[in-house]
Amino acid sequence: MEIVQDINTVGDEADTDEMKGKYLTFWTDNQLFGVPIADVVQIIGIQEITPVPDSPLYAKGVINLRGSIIPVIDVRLRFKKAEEKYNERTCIIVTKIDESYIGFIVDSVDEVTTISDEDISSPPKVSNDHTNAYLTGIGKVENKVVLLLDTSKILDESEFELVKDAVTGLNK
Amino acid sequence: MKIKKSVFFADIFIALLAVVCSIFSVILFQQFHSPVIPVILLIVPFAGALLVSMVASKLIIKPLTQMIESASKMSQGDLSVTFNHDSKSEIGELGQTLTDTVTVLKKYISDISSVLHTMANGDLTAEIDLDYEGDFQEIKIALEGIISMLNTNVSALSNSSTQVSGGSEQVSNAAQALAQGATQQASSIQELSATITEISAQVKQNARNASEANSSSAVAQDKMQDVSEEMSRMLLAMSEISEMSTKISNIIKTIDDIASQTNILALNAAVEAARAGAAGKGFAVVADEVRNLASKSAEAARNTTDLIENSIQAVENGKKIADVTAKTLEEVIAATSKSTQLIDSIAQASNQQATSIAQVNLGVEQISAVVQTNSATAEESAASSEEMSKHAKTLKSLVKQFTLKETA
Repeated sequence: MEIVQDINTVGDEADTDEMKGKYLTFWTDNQLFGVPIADVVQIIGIQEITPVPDSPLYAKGVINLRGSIIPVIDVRLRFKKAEEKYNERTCIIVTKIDESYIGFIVDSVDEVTTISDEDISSPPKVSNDHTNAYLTGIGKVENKVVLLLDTSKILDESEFELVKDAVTGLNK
Repeated sequence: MKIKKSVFFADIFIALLAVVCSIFSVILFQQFHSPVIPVILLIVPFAGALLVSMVASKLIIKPLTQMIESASKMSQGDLSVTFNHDSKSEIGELGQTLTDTVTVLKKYISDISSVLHTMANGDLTAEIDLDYEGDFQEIKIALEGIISMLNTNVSALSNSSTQVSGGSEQVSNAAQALAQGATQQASSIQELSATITEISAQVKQNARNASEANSSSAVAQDKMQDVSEEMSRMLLAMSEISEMSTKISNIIKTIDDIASQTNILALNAAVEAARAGAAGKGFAVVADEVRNLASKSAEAARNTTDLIENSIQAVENGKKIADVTAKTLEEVIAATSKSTQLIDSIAQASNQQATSIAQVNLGVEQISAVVQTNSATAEESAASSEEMSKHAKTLKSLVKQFTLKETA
């Protein structure tokens, strides 16, 4: 709990300059994604997930992170990719969205990298791909292509509420 | 007749003489009273009687004596005697009768002699033409009987001897054929014996080969056992390598785990450093270095894992090859065992063959002995029949000496 609070304070202060352009990149279904550092609270290795009944498929359940109950979303399933078995490289990226914590289960984390605006291009408009809604842009790191995501847009409003309620119920 | 008459007259004369003399003697006696003349006169009849008897004896006894002599000679087989038959007296008659008798006897005897001579010369066609009278008929009948019987028997003998001759020839031929056959048998048996000896030698060779093959395959089996043991040891070593590789693999996994966790930690550190902004720059560098180290660890672990995997793969391949080899070896052992069994049965069969051949040999020897006996018997038989043939020929030639009566 303490670590989380500390991070919050630090995050608010340095939000403007230093963290801009810094992304945490991760692999899901052989695609490299990136989320802004500002959203990232912690990266942890995969651990035991407690499933929550009546949840959507991608909402795998909740985890216990130092006393806090955090819901976790399977990014593969969320992006309608084939489900893969979790291995030792699977990580949960714990993010903070509007005062709520959500964990995203990814195949593996890559690195923390700076991507300048020149290396970012706007996303192509392809209507069927679900990834598009949350794509903020296409980044270039060395010769790799990174799909930059808006963390808060991975889940839309209703889904977010759903997940939050479920957790709240559990937290009580 | 004459003698009777003579005797009668003599008797009368003497009687008269006696009477006369008696009368004279009486007269004289009465006259002369001398006894001398009466005596002399009495003697006269006696003298006369004496004279008569002397004459009689001469007339009777001499011829009789002659006849007795002749008859005696005759009884001793001299038929050439004659009997005095010139006088007309009874003695003369006797002499004549005896002479007749002798003649008759001579006739019969001569006839019989001639017939018998003829028969003695082998001519059985002899016949007695003469009429034999009275008791002599018996001889004729008997002789004719002999002739007929001889004819019959000799003829039968002739037939028999012909048959015997023919029969003995057949026997001779048969015996010769038998002897030939026996000789052929003997030579066949020789060939058979030779063949059996060959077979026996081959069987012995078989048995020896089988025994050699057996010992060879036993050696091979031993070698294969050794190979099998070596293989087991190799498999053991390989499995140890596998175990070691697995252990190393686990350790590598642990290292990898640590590396990845370190990585995450470093990332978290980088996140914090990013948040810290300027203050976190140094920390960011440290975090970066840590990440580098973690990634190097991970890479080293990966390389090692690759090597380990190769090693495990190599061991797996080796194991597969060893398995295949083991299987092949088992098959070879099974085949060898089978072939050993077969060879054993061959050896056994060869032994039985050898025994059987020995028995066959024995049998052949027995046959050979029998054949030899047969051969000897056949030869004896041939010799016997030769002799018999000779005897039959002799018989035939003897029989030929007889001339037989034609049978109607």
